[in-house]
Parts: sequence; C-alpha cells; structure tokens
Amino acid sequence: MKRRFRKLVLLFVLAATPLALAADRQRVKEVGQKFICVCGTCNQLLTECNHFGCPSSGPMLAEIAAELDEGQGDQSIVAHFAEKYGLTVLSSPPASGFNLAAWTMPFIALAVGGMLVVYFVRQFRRKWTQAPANVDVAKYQQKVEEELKKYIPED
Amino acid sequence: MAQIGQFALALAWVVTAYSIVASLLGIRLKHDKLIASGRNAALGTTICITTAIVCLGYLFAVSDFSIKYIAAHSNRDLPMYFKVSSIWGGQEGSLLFWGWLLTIYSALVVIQNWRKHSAMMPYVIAVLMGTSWFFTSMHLFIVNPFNQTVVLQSGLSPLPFVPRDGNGLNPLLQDAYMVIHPPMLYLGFVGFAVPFAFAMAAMLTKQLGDTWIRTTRRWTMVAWMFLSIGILLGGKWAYHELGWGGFWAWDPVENASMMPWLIGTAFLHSVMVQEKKGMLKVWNMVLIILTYIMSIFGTLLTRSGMVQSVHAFAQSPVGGYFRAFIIVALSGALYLLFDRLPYLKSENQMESIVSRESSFMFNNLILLAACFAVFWGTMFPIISEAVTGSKITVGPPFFNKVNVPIAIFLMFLTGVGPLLAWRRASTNSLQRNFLWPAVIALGTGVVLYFRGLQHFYAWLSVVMSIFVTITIVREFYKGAAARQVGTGDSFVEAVVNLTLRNTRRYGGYIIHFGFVLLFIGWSGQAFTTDAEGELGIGDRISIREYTLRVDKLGIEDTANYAGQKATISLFEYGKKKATLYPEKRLYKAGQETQPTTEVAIYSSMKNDVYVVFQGGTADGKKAIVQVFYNPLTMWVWIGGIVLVAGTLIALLPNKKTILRRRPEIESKEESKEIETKVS
Repeated sequence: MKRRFRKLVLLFVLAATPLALAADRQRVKEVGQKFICVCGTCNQLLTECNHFGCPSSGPMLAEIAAELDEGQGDQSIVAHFAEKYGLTVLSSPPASGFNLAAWTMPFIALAVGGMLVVYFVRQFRRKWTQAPANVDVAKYQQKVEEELKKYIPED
Repeated sequence: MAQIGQFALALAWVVTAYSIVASLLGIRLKHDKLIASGRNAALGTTICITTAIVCLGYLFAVSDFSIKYIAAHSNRDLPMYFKVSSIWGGQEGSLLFWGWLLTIYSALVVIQNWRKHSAMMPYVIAVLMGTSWFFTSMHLFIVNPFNQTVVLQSGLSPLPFVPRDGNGLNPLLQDAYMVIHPPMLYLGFVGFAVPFAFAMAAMLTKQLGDTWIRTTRRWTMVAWMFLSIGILLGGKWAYHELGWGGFWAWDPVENASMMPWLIGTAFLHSVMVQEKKGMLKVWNMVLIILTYIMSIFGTLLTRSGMVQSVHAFAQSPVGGYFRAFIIVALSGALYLLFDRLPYLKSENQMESIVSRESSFMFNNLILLAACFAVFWGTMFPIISEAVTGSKITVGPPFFNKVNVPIAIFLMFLTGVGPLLAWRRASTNSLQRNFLWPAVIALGTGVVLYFRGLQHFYAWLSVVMSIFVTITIVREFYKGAAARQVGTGDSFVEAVVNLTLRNTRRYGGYIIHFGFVLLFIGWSGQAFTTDAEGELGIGDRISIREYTLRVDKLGIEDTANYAGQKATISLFEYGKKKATLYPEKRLYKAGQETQPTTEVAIYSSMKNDVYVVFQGGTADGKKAIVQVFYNPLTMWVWIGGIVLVAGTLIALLPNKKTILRRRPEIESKEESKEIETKVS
C-alpha cells in the first residue's frame, strides 16, 4: 500500500507539462533562442530550459507559438517580451544605447590591439634599419630610393 | 578527527607565514640556515594541509554530520566514491582542495629546483607561500570546512547539534565526471602559480634571461594540459548531466575556466619567441601575471556567485577577500614589472610583419581578444547595471556571435604561423608553403558547399580545418622524407624518430591537430536538430535516419534516489542499433527535491542520438521524450584526447638530440679555444 502510494506521488511529481505548440517547431526554437527563461533558477536559454516543472518556460514558448501563429515577426515578439518581462529576458544585450558597447568593445579592442602590433613591428624595424651596425644597409637603401625616384615619376 | 583537521589548518597558517618571513629575511640577512628553514616550512605546510584534507575525507567517509560541511554535502546512503569526492562538492572543501594542490605543487617545485636555482628559490617559495597563506587564511577564518553543525537560538549561544542524516550531495554533482572534473580544473588553475612564482623570482633577483621560462616550461604545459582536460570534462559533464543537448553554454563559471586557458595558451606560444630570439620579455611577464590573476579570478567567479550562474551551488561571502587578494597581487606584480623594465630589453629586433615572430604576436593578439570578449561579456551585466541602472543578460548567443569569428581566425593563424620563417618570410616561400594547401582546402570547400554545407561559419571552420590539417601533414611528411634520406628509416620510423627528436615542435603540431578535430566537432553543432513527442509503449518517434520505439516505462527505487526510466529501442534505417535507458530521477536526501535528468546517448563517429526523458504524463502511461540529433559531437572528445596526447609528447625530453648535439657543441667550443690560441 505504502509502496503504491509512493509510486503515485512519484508519478505526480515527475509528471511533465505536455507541450502544445501549434506553430512550426523550428521557428519557435529560433525565436526562443532570443530569450532567457525567467523562472529565476536556471538562467538558461528559453529553448534549452529543461528543469523539471519549470513554471515559466512552457507558457513562454506557448506565447511565442501563439504570436507566431498570429503572424507576428521576430522583432515585434522581441519588443513585446522585453516590455512584458523586462530587458533581462533578452538573451543578448540590445544593440542600442550603452549596451551597444557590449557588442563593439571586443572588436574595438581587437582593432586597437592589431594596430599596436603593427606599430610595434614597424617601430622595431625602424630601430633595426637605423642601428649603427647596419649603416651600410641604410646607405644602400637611400641610394635605391634615389635611383627609384629617377625612374618613377612622382604624382 | 575534526579537531586534528582544525589544528592542522591552524598550524599550516603559522608555518606558511613563517616560511614567507624566513625566506625573505634569510635573503636579506644572507643567512643560509634561515633560507633553508623557510624551505622546510614550505614542505611542512604541505604536510599540514595534507593532514587537513585527509581528515576531511575521513569525516566524509564515516558520515560525521556534527560537522556542518559534511551535513550539508553528504548523506548516509551516498556511495563511497561520491562521499569522498564531496570533499570538493562545496565551497569550503573545494577551496581547501585548491589550497592543498598548491602546497603539493610547491613541494614538488622545491624538491625539483632547490639545488638548481638556489638564488631564485627563496623568492619562488615566498610567492607560492604568499598565495598559500591567503588560502589558508580563508580556510581557517572565513570558510572553515571543520565548523560544527549548530542550531541557532535567539538570544543564546548556538547549540551543537548532530542531524540524523546529511543534506546530500547536489544530485547534479553525482556523476563520474564530477568526481574528476574539479581536480583537473584545479590542477590547471593552481599550476599556473608555479610559472608566476618563477617570473616574480626572476624579477626580484634580476635574473631575467630565459632561465625562468626554461625552468617552468614543463610546469606551464602541465598546468595548461590539466586545465584543458578540466574544461573538456566539464563540457562532457554538462552534456551528460544537464540534458539540454549541448556541452557549452557560456555560463560565467565556464567562462571562468576559459579565460586563464586563453591567456595561458598565449603565454605558451609567446615564450617560444623569447627562447629563440630573446624578444617579448616584458610581454611574457604581462601574460604570466594575467594568467595567474585570471586563475584566481576564475576561482572567485566560481566561488562567489558574483555573476548569476547555473552553478548555484557555489555562492558565498568569499568574494570580497578574493577581490582584495587580486588587487594586492596584481598591483604588486605590475609594480615589480614596471621597476624592472630596464632589465627586460629585447635582444633582437623585429624585421618583418610577415614572419614567425609577428605571427606569434598576432596569435597572442587573437587569444587575448578572445579572452577579453569572454571577460567583457561575463562582466557586462554588472557594468551595464552600474552605468545604466537597468539589468540585462549576456547569454550564449552573444558569446557565439563574438567569439566564433575570432576562433576561426585563430584557426587560420594555426595553419599559417608554424610555416612562416623566422625573421622574414619571402613571397616565394609563402607561395611554396601555402598555395596548394589553400587551393585544396578551398576546392574541398566548394564541393562541400554544393553537397549541403551551407552554414557560413561551419563552412569556414571546416575549410580552415582542412587547410590546417594539410599544413600539419605536410610538415610531418617533409620532415620524415628528409630524415629517410639521411637514415634509411622506414617512413613510419622516420615520423616517430622525427617526433621524438623534436617533441615540442611535433607535439605542438599534434595539439594543433587536436584543435582541428575539436573545430570539426563544434562545426557539427550548427546542424543539431531535435524532435519531441508524447509516447506510449510501442509508439515511435523519428529523427533523420533514426527511429526510436518506447518498449517499457518503469519505476526504480534505490536507497539514494527514486525515478522513472524508459526503455527505448533505437533503429538506424530500420535496423536495431541499441537499447537506451533515459531516466528522470528524484534524489531523496535534502529538503529540495528537484528532479534531475539522466540522458541516454548513442554515440557514433557520424553523430550522437541524445535522448532525454522529460517525464511521464500524469497517468504514468506515456512518456514525453525529446531526441536530439547532434552531428559529429564525438570529434570534440576525440580532439580532446589528441590534444592531451600531443601535450604529453611535447613534455618528453628530446633525448636523441641531446645525445647528438653535445659532442658538436663541445667540439665547437674546442675549436674556438684553438682559434683563440692561434690568434
């Protein structure tokens, strides 16, 4: 009897919410990637939230499906969700205002770093060509430059 | 036992502090015995912390719930191996474990190098013990694993109390990968303290040649290897245990392990430039300082709950202390670096932007940019909240968008860098080295495109992988062919001998090849698909060439957990391939009963079929099953194994070269002597 009762309890606890998604699964998945589950425990992508009996992810996905069925585009769903759940629901920062910095800084850093590398290499090279041990080379280079000038007209 | 552990910690605290003072004072007073005493104290610390951790393990083994940490992270019915691995299952224990590994490393360093580098070693000890002292202080005063379980009473002093059973280990951590993942990761994190300590010692003693780099080369590689293994095992754990179908989610804690790895990788490459050409000395110092700081920062991120994370089991008040330690260590190291700049002049000059040297610099640039992108993304929610006042989320889509192009560019450099000549590469050699690999890679790319590989990044990643593979294979082929001419070895012998003669270079190529495989595995993830269904017994669900049929739905009940289990037959093109048992479990210990998923995975070289039992319907007659089709996932793990194999090869000494070169060097020196005599 006790065992049977436990079994029933177990079944009840482990019962999953059935998924009733009318819209195209793949589309719901695509749009769902743009959001984070708001249940507060998992912090996972909405489409990846799989913790048991999650109160949020099921209804949220159903909401996306419903809005897709209404013929709404990604943009308007994103706007609607952001308004309803706050900005934290978006899985990546919106590309506007200060949050644009999230997107641009890594590439700005890369570009600045790249310029620094090139600058250092050039700097090294200049030192090398001006080094006293290589006076001859510098002299010849100058000569080459002069010769070239004779043959190539300046713009 | 708890008292012994407690006492060992207290003793370790005193002994560690003494070791620092004795070492530094010994140098100042030029007192050899004091220096030796500092060394012995460092070894003593190892004994003390080892005693403490053995005590903790014993308390777990006998389930002594009068200790708070044990009561919170174990229970009577937990299998023994999980009981012992619970040592690093929570905050207090995992920090103790960190500290313990550090003392073990320190002892090994002392034993290995004491005679060889007598001037540097006292400083090395002081730096290592400095880190150790910080951790010992944390163990003793902030997060002591030996604290008693107590009941708080209002107005009265807390009352000691022994609960009947413990709270249990977090079900997510009850996994074989979790037994070995944290030790590997920590061996990596902690390992970077060794090259850092030598770098500091080099600056303090002004012995700024490449001695410190040569001495710690293997240590760095070992730390790097463990960190790589740790990260990959973490991915494997997530893949098996979290049940969402992937292995990497750019969680703050995952990022925490990624950052020191990226800078450590940059360091491993750029030290080669210093060894070969005596350049980038300041830069290498910066890199090792950053690697060390990132290791500590990684521990902070994991252990403080500073950024929200799925690893909710890791939150606590240690954050402030870690931040303070990071600031002290960073400013100390940078001050020292600034002070020693005049001693860190480059011995050679850069000659061309198209050269091995500059390719290393670009490699460093890309790795650092990747690290910065990860750091920036991880910290951005905090930054944004501070600036705009509103919270935002930086999730996986952000990291993927930013890091994938960076990673692919890095792959490109992996192919190009090793084939560029030192000093400057001529146009002729560029053409000779790269024309055919590029043509073949692009040609294959075109074919693959028309055969359906039309995801841009996946395509680019595969093309780069082919390009890099060809360059690597050609390096081996060229080397072996040249060797065959000289020695008459068979081709295989030639490849083996070639590798053993220059383990670092060819081991490095093997590591690069491991990365190629990892990239191929990653590229496959762009084509993941899934299907979901509510299935009764006998029902089927199909995904690509596979069909799954539910044969049985059962209930299981063990001492540790109860749950539901499905028996599912897997058919590939109608032919039975395997029987899978996905489960949903409910662990019994503890108040929170959050069910966990045990996924069932059918793996092949071509793809994984990843089955998640989402749960039963309320009447228990049907199962909700989700099936993922993950192409090429196995190559991620194979790539990991190749990477480790490559590192192990790179760690081998070049035996034959040493034997051959010695007489040459000696004869050269002799001839020099003769010359000088003649002149």
